[in-house]
Amino acid sequence: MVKKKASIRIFLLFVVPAMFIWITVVLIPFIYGLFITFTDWNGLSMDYNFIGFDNYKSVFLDNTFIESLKKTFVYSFSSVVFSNLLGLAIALILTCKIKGQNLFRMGFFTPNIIGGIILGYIWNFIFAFALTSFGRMSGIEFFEKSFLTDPKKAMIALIIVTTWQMSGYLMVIYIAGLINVPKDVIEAAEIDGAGWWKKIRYIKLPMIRSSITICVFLTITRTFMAFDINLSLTAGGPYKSTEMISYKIYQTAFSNMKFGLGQAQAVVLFIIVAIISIIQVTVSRRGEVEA
Amino acid sequence: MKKQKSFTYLILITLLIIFIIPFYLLIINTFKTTQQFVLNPFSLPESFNLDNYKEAIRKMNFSVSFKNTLIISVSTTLLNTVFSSMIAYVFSRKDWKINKFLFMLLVVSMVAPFQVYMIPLVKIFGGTLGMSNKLITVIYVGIGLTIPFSVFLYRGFLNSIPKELDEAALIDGCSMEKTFFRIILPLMKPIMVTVMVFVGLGSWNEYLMTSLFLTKTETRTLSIAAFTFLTNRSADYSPMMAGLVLGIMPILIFYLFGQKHIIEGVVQGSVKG
Amino acid sequence: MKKRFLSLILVLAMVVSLVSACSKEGADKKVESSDKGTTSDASKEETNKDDSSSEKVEISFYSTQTGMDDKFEDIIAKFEEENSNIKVEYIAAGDNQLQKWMSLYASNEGPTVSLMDPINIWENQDRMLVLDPNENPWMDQVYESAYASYIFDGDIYAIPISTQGYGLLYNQRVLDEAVGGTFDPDTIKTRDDLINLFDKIEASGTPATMITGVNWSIGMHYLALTYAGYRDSREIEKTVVEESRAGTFDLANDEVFNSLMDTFDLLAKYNYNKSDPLIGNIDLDAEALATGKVGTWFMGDWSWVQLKDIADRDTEFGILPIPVSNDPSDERNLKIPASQPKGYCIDTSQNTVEQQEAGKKFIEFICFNPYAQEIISDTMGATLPYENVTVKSDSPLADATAWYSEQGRTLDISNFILLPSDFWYENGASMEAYLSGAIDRETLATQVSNYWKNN
Repeated sequence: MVKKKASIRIFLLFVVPAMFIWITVVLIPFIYGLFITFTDWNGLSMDYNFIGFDNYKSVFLDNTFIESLKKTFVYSFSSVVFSNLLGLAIALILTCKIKGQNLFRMGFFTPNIIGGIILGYIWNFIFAFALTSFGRMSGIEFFEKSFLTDPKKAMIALIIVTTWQMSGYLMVIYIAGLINVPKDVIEAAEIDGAGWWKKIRYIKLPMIRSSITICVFLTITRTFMAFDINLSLTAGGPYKSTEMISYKIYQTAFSNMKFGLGQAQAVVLFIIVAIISIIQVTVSRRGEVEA
Repeated sequence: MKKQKSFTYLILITLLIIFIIPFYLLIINTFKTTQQFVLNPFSLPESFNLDNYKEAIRKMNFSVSFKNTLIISVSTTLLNTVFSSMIAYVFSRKDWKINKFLFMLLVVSMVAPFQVYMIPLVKIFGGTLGMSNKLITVIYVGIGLTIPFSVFLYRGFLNSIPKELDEAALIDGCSMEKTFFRIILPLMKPIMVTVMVFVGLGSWNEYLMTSLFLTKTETRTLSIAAFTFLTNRSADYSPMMAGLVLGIMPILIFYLFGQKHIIEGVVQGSVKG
Repeated sequence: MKKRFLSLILVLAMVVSLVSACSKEGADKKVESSDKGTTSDASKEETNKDDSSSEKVEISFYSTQTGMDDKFEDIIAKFEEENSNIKVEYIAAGDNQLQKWMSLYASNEGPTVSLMDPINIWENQDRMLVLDPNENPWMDQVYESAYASYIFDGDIYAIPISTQGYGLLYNQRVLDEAVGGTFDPDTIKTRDDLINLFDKIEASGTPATMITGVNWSIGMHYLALTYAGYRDSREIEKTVVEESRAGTFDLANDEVFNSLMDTFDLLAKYNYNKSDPLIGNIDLDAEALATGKVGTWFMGDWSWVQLKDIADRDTEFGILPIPVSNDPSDERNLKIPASQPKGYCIDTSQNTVEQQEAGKKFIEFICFNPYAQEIISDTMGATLPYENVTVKSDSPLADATAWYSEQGRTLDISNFILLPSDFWYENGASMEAYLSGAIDRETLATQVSNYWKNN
């Protein structure tokens, strides 16, 4: 009985404040948002009608939605792989007592300090002008035309910029994990004559399993919901070939003025990403146990 | 061995250059006119012309925007740290069913696109409660939006701290609050610094949510003010970039000077852990 | 110890600043909420006006004409000086004008006066005040034809801010050199004349024309002419749109569509940006025209804002119509499309009668006060669609639009309001694909037709 009372006190003190804020800011508006998906509200009009599941039907009958989803998969998968590999590689190097490692850590993190629109614009210039003039000078045809006016290359550009920005972020999380690997274990391995690869493969990687899970989870959710970079770098172009799902939802809701439909698309996206991340987390958790 | 090391350096330095090129471009172009920037963003400026900075300070109403941004980011970061670390601690230590359920809810909400609840959020806080144009609203909402992410990271870290540590303290008669603040919190330093950097940076650069609530000139933040240089079809890029540079300067200075302490904090914490 | 002390002070300072900020805000809120309470229902109840004279009326002005926030604030300051009982709060649009508008309405802060596109006003008429010229005599100063985009079912819903025309902008010096003498735009009466001109420009060593491959330019300004401007009457245009929606309109064999696209092909053939047609950079293209790297440019008079600041630019520019046939008596070949792309409207759904009245005063001021006119005309480089305008714009392009208007040589494109608000975005993509050669005209027609069926 005393114990129960104590538990309630702890619950009220530790759990309730944070949950209260979260419920008011996220959960209640989210439920409200769900409600809108069953209406034909345009976001501005003073009244609306209930139209049942019509919005959801439209989502699945819309070819462009499915197309967008496919593009997002390609983009997301590539970005997750490249940014995690790069972030992890940098983190491994920068935890090896390298001279000037603090300077390097800071340098690799800078892409995250500049946010949003201007970043996309600067990269826009790099792809449209720096690379093209490099192409003309060197005669390499691949670079002569802007990356951003070719559907396939525009996607590559998006992946490059995402990897560039995200890997510094992931590096920080990986470094935090790697620092926590007990030094005596590594020293013991060194005495046993383990080379750098063996140390990484058999000691460091298994020890930072949870960091990997976190990073992969973060990159999956971030890339599936990528919006800023899509807007400022390609704006979905050329001719909507890089219109990814979040950007499309945004267009549906705020440019096409089909607010209810946009909301329904967003809910569908939510369900998809939720399923993917649950699978990912479960699978890698199982890995953690084995290790 | 030596050869291998210099090879590593070569790769690192090349990578680093790629990583900071846009940053370099940003800075050199603040000393040019917009036209010079558009014609050749890669040329060096002819002189250190500070006109763009003056223009940015004037048009963005810099001191006011700066103050607003500072109040919002600092409060969001600190309060988020307190609330999230506390809830994460209970989540990681108490095996209650409700905890599992709540944690799962939080994690799932991380994958919910902001669009789904953006307009309802404005309707509730702005419309029903009439809380538009108040910094406190943005702080409150900012905390709510970042709680899942922070709790996720904190709980992961706390799980790696041996339970025996606080069990010992509890047996000694410490209350849970005391155990948390005296024993656990200091151990959380490395992850706390990391999360604070993420949350702080995020709220410093936050645009979309903030712009929905703060519409008045006197409540503008830096990232909202930067949009005054954007026109319907183009933008006055040079002063806009000058404004952005001014906006990130404080973070940069903080990062430069705080860096040593931050890294030290991370290392210390890990040795103890 | 020292460290701990320092951090303590820091935290304290933070708390103090936070609390002071909040309390200040709290005070603000009280004022606000008290007049919110009296106002929100008042608009429907038609409250008595007797006590309003002494109190300050607070209104808000939402502008989607971006990039001139400080100019609008100057105008507001002047207005408040002359109308001490009205306070105007300025709200800038930011990056997405509709999203911001929605969020303002969602938080019950619908702006008293909004400067919006016709389509947005049309879609939200139920919130807007009908402006009656009989009650508001000042409305007569606006040219009657300038209301075209803002009249729905016979009622006027907004006052236009400017008249803007577009077509093929040209650099006078380059064209003079090409034709050997002074170039006269009236010599271009047919598509063949245009081809002839282009050949001459190319012969003089300069690329003839330029298309900026962005969706709003080729998707809206060009393709949308299929539905507004080039047909005999607004009624016919309306039928075309209705039939398109119903899926019965044969776009692929439509005369206007094909004529327009034939000319588009011509522009594409001589395009300065041909090697990479979708590169689409308005600043660079403006620079190319201004310094004579290219002879003509499919764009509008609004780009004077970009052109005028370019160093070493030429001084004389003009606008050419887009010829769509080889018949010299075809009047369409002599006219440029022009419209009033943004107008001031007044909200009734979240603003009181007093606020609406103050909003009218503000619109009257911003449209007709010489001080305001000078600022607007100067920063937008645009023609003002009002009588007795005394300010003289420094833009040769605005002058050209004004000249065409005076001659009655403008194409009425007010039926752009019949096009859904995402027309430019969705079909702009198809036009981009067409320009880059990814699809042919038949596919383009199919894609556009499919777009209509889904709307």
